Amino acid sequence: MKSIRFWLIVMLTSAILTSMLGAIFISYNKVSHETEELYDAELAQLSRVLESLLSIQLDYTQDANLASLAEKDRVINTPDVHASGEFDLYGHKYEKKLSFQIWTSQGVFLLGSGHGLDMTEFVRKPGYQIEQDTAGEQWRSFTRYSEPLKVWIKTAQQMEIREELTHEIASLNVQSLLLMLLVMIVLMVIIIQMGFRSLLRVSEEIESRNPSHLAPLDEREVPSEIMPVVHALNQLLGEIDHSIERQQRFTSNAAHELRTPLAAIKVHAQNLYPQDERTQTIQQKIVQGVDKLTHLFNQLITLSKMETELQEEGGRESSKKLLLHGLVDQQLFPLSEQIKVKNLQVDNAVATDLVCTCPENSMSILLRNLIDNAVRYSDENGMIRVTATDSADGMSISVMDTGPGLDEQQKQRVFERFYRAAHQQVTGCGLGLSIVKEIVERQQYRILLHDSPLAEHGLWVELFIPKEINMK
Amino acid sequence: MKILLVEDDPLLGEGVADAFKYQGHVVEWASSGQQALILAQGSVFDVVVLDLGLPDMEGLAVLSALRKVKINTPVLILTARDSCDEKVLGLDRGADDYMAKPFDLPELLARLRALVRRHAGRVEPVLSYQGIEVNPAEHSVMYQGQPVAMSRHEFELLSHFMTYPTRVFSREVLVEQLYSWSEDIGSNTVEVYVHHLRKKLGKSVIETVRGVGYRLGKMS
Repeated sequence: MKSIRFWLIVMLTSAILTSMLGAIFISYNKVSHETEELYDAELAQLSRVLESLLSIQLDYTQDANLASLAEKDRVINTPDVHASGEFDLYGHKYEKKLSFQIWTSQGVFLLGSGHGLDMTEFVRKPGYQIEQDTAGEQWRSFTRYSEPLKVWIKTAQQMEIREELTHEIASLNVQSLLLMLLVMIVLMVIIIQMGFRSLLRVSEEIESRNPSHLAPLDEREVPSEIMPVVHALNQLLGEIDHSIERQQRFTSNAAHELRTPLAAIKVHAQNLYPQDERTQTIQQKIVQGVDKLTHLFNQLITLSKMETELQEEGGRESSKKLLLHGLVDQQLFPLSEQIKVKNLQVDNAVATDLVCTCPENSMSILLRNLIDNAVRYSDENGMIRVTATDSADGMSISVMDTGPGLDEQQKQRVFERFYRAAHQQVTGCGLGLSIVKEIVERQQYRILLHDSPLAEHGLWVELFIPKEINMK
Repeated sequence: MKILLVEDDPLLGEGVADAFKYQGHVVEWASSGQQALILAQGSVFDVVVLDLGLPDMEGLAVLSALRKVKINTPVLILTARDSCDEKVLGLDRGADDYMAKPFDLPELLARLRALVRRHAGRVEPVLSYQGIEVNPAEHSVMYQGQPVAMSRHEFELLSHFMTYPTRVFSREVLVEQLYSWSEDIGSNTVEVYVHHLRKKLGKSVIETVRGVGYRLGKMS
């Protein structure tokens, strides 16, 4: 996933870095050129000072001439600076890096500093040049021939000290630019974060939407760039909300529209008051058919209601503390007629004081379907037992019967919608266990199918409610 | 008994009306709320069977309108809406019983009998009066321990008198009780049935109140 924020930070930083490096390069060049010129001018000026001092000296001493001066061989040796610092009372350590020399036109050394350029070398080459002394140091020199005095004057500076200043200025420049860069990056990150805050708020808002929370996003504080997106999203949310509502209305309309004709068929069938056995059988079949259809339809409505409730409540019906024994009895009551007809032995073995913390409606539907199945699939004189045990891990509720049971393949498929195991003589619609599964999944329970311990065949359905869920 | 059936579905309405008639009851069938209100104010009914989803108005509005004009006939709501909330709402709005579609006919008939019985302030399911026993559930009459055969109208008339043993009924009220408005009525029908009852159960079973009508007689 590409983050616009990250991309902006990286790209802006590199753009600023590049332009600053360019600026540093240009300013370095400029500074070094300007200092070069200043130093060069200084060299030229020094040579003129030397010329004028020498001419005054020659005018002042009558007897003196260039030859006598040459005999004296004046070498002004710069004393070593003893102090650890850059200078002391007698001079500066950088003096060694500066040099001057005066030669006669014949190439006789008249006077100069005793260091620097090779003394024996005399080059008749006026102007600025770069030379190397015997120690290998680079010098910048200025040589000039003085016509009135008939001498060559050379002034020089070591390249090192010329470059030092340029370096210093450039590094000062770089330091301040780097500091600026750092400040700019920090500010940039903050500004980008601030700019993206409204975008992040919108994305958090969108994240909080689900089928049970489809309120449109607040369009007032949305940045104009993503306004079309938010607007389209709001429209979509509205449509989803509308279609969920329509689905719910459809369910309730379907309920009404289907129940009335079912009731009509049943009433007309019951109005027959049959005189012979055949008509009586037909009447019973019609009534049974209607009852079966009603059962299927009720199960479908239960499923559909559970699905819409899931959307409405965000999936969770609130839990209550319920006495399980009573809840089981409540489910057994509507089945008492069938139990009597089949002569079933039903044992509600749940302890009367056992409390189960669970959503009442879901738990009722769950138990009703399990017990209804047990009654439905039990043969005559069969046995049904409902038990519950509470342990440290959670609560286990079991419904056991002595019906035909399920083989391994059937156990795997029995939770599918409209799947019916091969006992076609028993009426059913194949939705009961799908509903059970739906509730089990939603409540995060677990359901297990075993063979019943009550007889050699039969089904044992075990519902397990983990402790952490039972406590909620 | 006389039943007002309010049901907009023709197929179901016809079936229920047929069932009531087969039981010997008199039925007026309204297929809209307005029609139900007109019928209810036009004559006296023993019980009202009311559907909730009517084309012109809500069943509960019909119920409120009935109670507003002081018609306190027992009302059984018969509807496709079967949720607990809707049952509670219906009963709290003044209905006396509630049944969801589809329903079992014998149960509906039994509930209607119970409603009428309770409304008349009786506890016993069998009406008995000085040796006469009328069993509405079985549609049978015993007199001094012997079964007595009765026609539909004779039975209706007798059980009506026995439901309200102290009341005097005019001839017009009794005609209404025996026939729905669509049926053809002979001129002296009530007199004919009273005559039949007196023949089967003794002369003093129905007493003539001169200038007013008839009531259950004081048999010695």
